[in-house]
Amino acid sequence: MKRPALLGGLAVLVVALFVASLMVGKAVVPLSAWWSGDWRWAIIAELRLPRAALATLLGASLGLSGAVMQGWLRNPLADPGVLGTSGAAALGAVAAIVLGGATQWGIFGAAMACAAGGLALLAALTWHAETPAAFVLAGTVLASLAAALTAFLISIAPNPYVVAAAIDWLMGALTDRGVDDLTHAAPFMLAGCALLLATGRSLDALTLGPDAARSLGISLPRLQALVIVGAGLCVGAGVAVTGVVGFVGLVVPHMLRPLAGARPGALLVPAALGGAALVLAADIVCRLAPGAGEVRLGVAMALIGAPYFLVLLLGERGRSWG
Amino acid sequence: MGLRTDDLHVVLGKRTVLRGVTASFAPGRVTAVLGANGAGKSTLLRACAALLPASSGRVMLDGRNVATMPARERAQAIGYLPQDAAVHWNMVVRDLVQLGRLPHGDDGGEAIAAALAATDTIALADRPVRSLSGGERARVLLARVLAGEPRWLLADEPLASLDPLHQLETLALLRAAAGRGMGVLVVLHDLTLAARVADDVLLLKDGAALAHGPAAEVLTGANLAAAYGVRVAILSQPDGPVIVPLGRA
Repeated sequence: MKRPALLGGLAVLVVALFVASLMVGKAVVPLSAWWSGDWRWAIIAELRLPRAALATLLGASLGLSGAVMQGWLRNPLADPGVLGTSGAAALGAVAAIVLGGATQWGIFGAAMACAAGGLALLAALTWHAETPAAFVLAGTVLASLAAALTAFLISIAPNPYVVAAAIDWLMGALTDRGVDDLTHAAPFMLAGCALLLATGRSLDALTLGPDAARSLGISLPRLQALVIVGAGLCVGAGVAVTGVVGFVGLVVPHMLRPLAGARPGALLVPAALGGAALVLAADIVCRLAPGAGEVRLGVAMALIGAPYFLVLLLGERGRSWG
Repeated sequence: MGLRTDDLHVVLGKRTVLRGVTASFAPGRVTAVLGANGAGKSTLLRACAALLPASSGRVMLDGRNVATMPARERAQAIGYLPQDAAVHWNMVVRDLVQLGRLPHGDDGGEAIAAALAATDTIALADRPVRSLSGGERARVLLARVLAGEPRWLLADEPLASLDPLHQLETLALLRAAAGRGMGVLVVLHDLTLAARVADDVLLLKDGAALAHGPAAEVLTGANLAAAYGVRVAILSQPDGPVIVPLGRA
């Protein structure tokens, strides 16, 4: 597909889903309520607008992080979680919930601090490492450690309500997220996205392997710093305000690679737009769940991601049998 | 002027791979870098491209130390074709060749067209790289380097996994590049092909330069016995010498 058509189509899809996200929920509110004096305009302006903006930003940063991570590690199965940053940020959030009383700033600050600590540990573990395997292994160490400590904290929670709050957070959600959450996370996510968008040419060159990339004038340490800090900011800030939302960074680059082409740099902007569209759509579906409550966004993404990869797997098996 | 190594030592881990290699290479000539496995051929090329640091000594390009040149300027001057030329994503050939223009920061339309034409890969331009045969792929990867219009081309075993026809075609491309004024360093294993394509030969043994000079002077039975530990027969043919290993020296 031609790039302008792909980007235009994705942009229209994001705008359409954003508008739908303002209108759709337990109560359907027409967009005209905003300017027609309808009292329900407050639902759009104060509840759904920040939530839709946060969904857009979260999806874009996760989709972009996934595309960059797959290009950097030269592995189509890599995702932002492979660095262990999301696990570290979740550890911080759970620590704040279990130990600190769960104020909004407390959770955000603890999650970002733990994400930063995770990045520092990752940098220390991969000092002078050049192979993708070293980063995957270091990320696995970090994710395993964070998961163990998170489970430990939940096991020493003072009462069942705290356990429920921690588990609820880990499932990831945009429910009840407001302007404060958006203003906390947006600067970090935007900074992370800016860093990640600067990696396109380097990722293209890395297609030829590290030596060829360096011979083309690419600085691999600079690329590594951009990827780790950029993805860390995006994922850390995302987890800090919404909890753990998986699969976006894995699924979106997969879905769009056949349309955008295999060049890693060409996939970055489409993956950001595709991620935004996917999270906006999933969040709408979450709200439409029957009953008074909502399905958790992390659960919805997993329900989308697992069948998608099952279809891919069946396709691969079909090809190998054919 | 030209490309020169001065008493170049390279240590990888605890192993000294290059031991004081001093050699100079002239533009417009093809230099074959020969030697037994582990002699340091690939390491020499990587050090010349500043992909490995010299533990002592230096590599000079037109009077400047390549290790301290700005990376972009160095990339414009030296094109490097690695031995293991993996392509990790199934890119379209034109996009792959365009990567050669990264050091220049332009789309390099004419240079890319010229590189595709020189390597006879114009018809492949819109094909995914994984649909190519080994020979087509080798030509495309060479086109990627040529698209950067470097003054020096360092090719590490570009004939590996190619059939005889594609070997000859690839060598003809290297000769043509040298004919346009490019300096070419190429690591080879086939002595006969080296004798036919190379103006000069640098023969390495255990990381040191055993002999360096015009191909006819370096490719002697004595030198090859010292470098490879084999006796060879050097047969004169109308198209050039044929070098046949006979047995242990």
